[in-house]
Amino acid sequence: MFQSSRPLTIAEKLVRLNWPVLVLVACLAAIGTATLYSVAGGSFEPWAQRHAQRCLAGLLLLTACALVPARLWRAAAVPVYLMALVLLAAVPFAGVEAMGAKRWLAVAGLQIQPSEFMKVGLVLMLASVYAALPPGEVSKPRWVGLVLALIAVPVMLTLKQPDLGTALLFLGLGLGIMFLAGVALGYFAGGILVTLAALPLAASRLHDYQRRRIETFLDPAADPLGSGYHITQAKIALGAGGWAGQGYLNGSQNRLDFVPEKMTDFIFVVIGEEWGFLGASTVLALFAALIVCLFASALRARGDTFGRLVIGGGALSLSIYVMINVAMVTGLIPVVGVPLPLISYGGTALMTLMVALGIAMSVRIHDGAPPRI
Amino acid sequence: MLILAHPRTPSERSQAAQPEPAIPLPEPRAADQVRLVGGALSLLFLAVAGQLASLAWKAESMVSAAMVEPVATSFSRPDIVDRNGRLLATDVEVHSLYADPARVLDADEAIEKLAALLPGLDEADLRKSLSDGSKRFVWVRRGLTPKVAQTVHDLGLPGFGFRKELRRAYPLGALAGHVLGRVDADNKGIAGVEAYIDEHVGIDAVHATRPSDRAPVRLSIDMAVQAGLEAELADAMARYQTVSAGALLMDAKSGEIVAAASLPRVEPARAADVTDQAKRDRLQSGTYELGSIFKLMTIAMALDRKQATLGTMVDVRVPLNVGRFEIKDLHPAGRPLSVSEIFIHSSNVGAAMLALEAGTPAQKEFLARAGLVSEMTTEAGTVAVPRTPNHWDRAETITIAYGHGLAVAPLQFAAGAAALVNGGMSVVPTYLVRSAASGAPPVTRVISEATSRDIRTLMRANVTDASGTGRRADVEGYEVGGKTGTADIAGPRGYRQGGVISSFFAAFPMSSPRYVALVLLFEPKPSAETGGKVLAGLTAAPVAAGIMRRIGPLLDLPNKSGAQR
Repeated sequence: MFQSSRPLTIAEKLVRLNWPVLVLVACLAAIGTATLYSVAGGSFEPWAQRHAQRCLAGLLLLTACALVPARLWRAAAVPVYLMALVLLAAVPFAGVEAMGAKRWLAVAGLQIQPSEFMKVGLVLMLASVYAALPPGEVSKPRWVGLVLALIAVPVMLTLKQPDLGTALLFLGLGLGIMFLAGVALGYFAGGILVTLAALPLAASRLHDYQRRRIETFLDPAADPLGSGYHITQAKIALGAGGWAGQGYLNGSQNRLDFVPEKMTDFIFVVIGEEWGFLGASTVLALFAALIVCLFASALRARGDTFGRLVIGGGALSLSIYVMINVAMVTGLIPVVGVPLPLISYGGTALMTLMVALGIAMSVRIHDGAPPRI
Repeated sequence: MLILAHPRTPSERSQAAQPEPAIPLPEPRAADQVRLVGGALSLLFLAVAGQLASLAWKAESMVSAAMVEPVATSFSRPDIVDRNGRLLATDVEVHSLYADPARVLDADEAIEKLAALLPGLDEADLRKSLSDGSKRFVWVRRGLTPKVAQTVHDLGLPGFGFRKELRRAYPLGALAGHVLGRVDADNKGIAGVEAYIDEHVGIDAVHATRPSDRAPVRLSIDMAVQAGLEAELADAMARYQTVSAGALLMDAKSGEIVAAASLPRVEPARAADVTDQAKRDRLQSGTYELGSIFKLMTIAMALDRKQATLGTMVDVRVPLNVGRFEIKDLHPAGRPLSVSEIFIHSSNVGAAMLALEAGTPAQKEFLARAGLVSEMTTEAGTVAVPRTPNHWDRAETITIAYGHGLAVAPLQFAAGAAALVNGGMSVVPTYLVRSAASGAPPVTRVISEATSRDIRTLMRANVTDASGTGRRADVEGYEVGGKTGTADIAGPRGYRQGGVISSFFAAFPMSSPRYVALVLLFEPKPSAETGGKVLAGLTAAPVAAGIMRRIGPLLDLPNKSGAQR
């Protein structure tokens, strides 16, 4: 890496922030706030105001993370990963149970979700492993095996909670980073074959509620008031929105509490009903633009494997969240509890995303290119 | 350190310093991978956009279903009031308790506490529902009163909530239950006037528990008359130990039904009542061979065809055979009878001979004109279709002449018979008040004014004559006239021994009838009071008198000077 003559000043760093990403994040956060205002029946209480405050705090956190020199992030990779692993492992013993699953730890009066740390930890860890590997070695079986182990441990721990959605996110994220790092395609082809072969076994080990979600996905009409309720109501609401929507604050399905979890996982349905196809596809387009900006930034991470993979990992996790959420609420895949980033109400996941975006900006700010004026 | 380079544009290349030399992978690899991932993501985005478009495309067909079915929490219905505006049915807001099993913290505790407040709660079933954490919505009990809802609310059980719903309420319980009908769990009408409201008045899908803005539906029923009639019928049922009983009071000209009851009564709010066969509406949803009150039709036909006058003598001593049966009178007179006497003594042979003289085609034509063989509907639903004989010839003409072989719903008979006394014009029965707006339905002439006058004379004589079968129906001051009927009940194996339908068709005041009434007692038991007999003159006629005595003062009659009050 080439060295610049002197460290960047704060002002220089601020100029080098990825402003298009910041603007897109702010836009999506604003849409989230406006939608939460509508969900509450035209009120800033109880969600919209707190969401807006959290988004502002998140943007500050993002900027702060972006100002931290990239080498510090790289140095933090192993400690963060290990700490997240320890916390994840502690959940079954010290966790707080909520909604039939133990996912939270109570530490000093605060409830923390170790899987959120792991989202950052895993990206940093894998990126630094690949940055340290000689490039010719990435496809060597022992390194592939090591990386798979680094992915598998958090996946298994998360499955135990049980939290299938997050486990799948870790798996997808890890495999995605491996792909971006240039692991030979043969491994992926082999992996797909093994997965297909293992599907029947996996199906037999699913939790009852997981199995029901899949059955419900295949035929939501079978139990429209029970486990098929979410999908059926979400589809009705999206259908009711039509092309142009029923109008802001006028989504009848949402107004009448027919759409469940509408302030969190199903908030996209509210947008679809009130703003129609046009509104929903605009939100999708904003997410797409954000992801494109991030991948473009990864492409420009001048030969810095760590930076490229950290940005790519951030972009991937954002993409996975968005895709799973919108595919779920539109009935393309079974219901998995995944929020829509920046728009859904909820603090922890928002902060994690802001940190990830901040780190992604940090590696670009500190990539050693001469300061731009 | 080792670095993955990536392709640079010429301008970038000129800016950037040269990286360290180790480049084991071909340069485009990293960029290719990012593009591959980007391409895959684009496809996924397109798939979601496609799904959104297809949902939006289907919108037009789905929206209506969505609006009618799951969107509306309920339907708001117009109130139903009686002819004087008194409330018979209205919507009330109730609180329905549901649970979100995923949020219920302690199902056992919740069930224990709820069971104490909600009698009849199926604890096992609820425990099963609540243990299924994937369900997010389970009804626990719908339609709680505000007080019970408040008590449940005060338990502070996490995971339980209330949804407000509209529920139909009938403040007078079972009063006029058969007429009012029934609504389903979504407040949609499925029987009686409630179903009529859905089809002809309109109900509104509501997104909140909002009462209907529509004007109340005003029935022709008079609540007070109805209550009196139901009470008298209940007494009669007990006195004669009948299986059931029915009665109606109808405006003789307009067809407005002022009171109509079939006992046992039904409570519209209780689904089990409405579907109970033993409690079916005998006036409208069943057909019966009504017996001698049908002689009104036979004699009206004979007089209207001018084949006979009231004084025409008929020799009823001639034996009249139908197959191997011989038609006989209960009390053979042993002498020729005039048409008047045939009516008053209720002679089967006489009625049969009059019908035979007219002939089968004339009988068919007359009964069709009187509206007794066609389909009929009222606001309370379709009237049971008359059962006419498959083969209608001499034998059937004879039996139909005195009320057997043709089965009609009592309501349909009452409408047909009203035309015989009101001056000869047909009557369309209705449960609604005929307003200037709704107008009168088209009517046709059934018999001439003169024939109607003759029928009125005969009916009055049947009550005033010392030997008339209807003499026990006289109520001083109301100028009652009427005809009795005691019909054997047809069962699967012929006519049952002893089981009869005892009926009385009345009109008053007889000189210019305002109202007609029909009283039916199904299978009355003989008692000492009736001299061991079940004849209508001893059962239905006095019940009719009791009803008229009770409700007469409530009715709008031109001259009540002599009425017992």
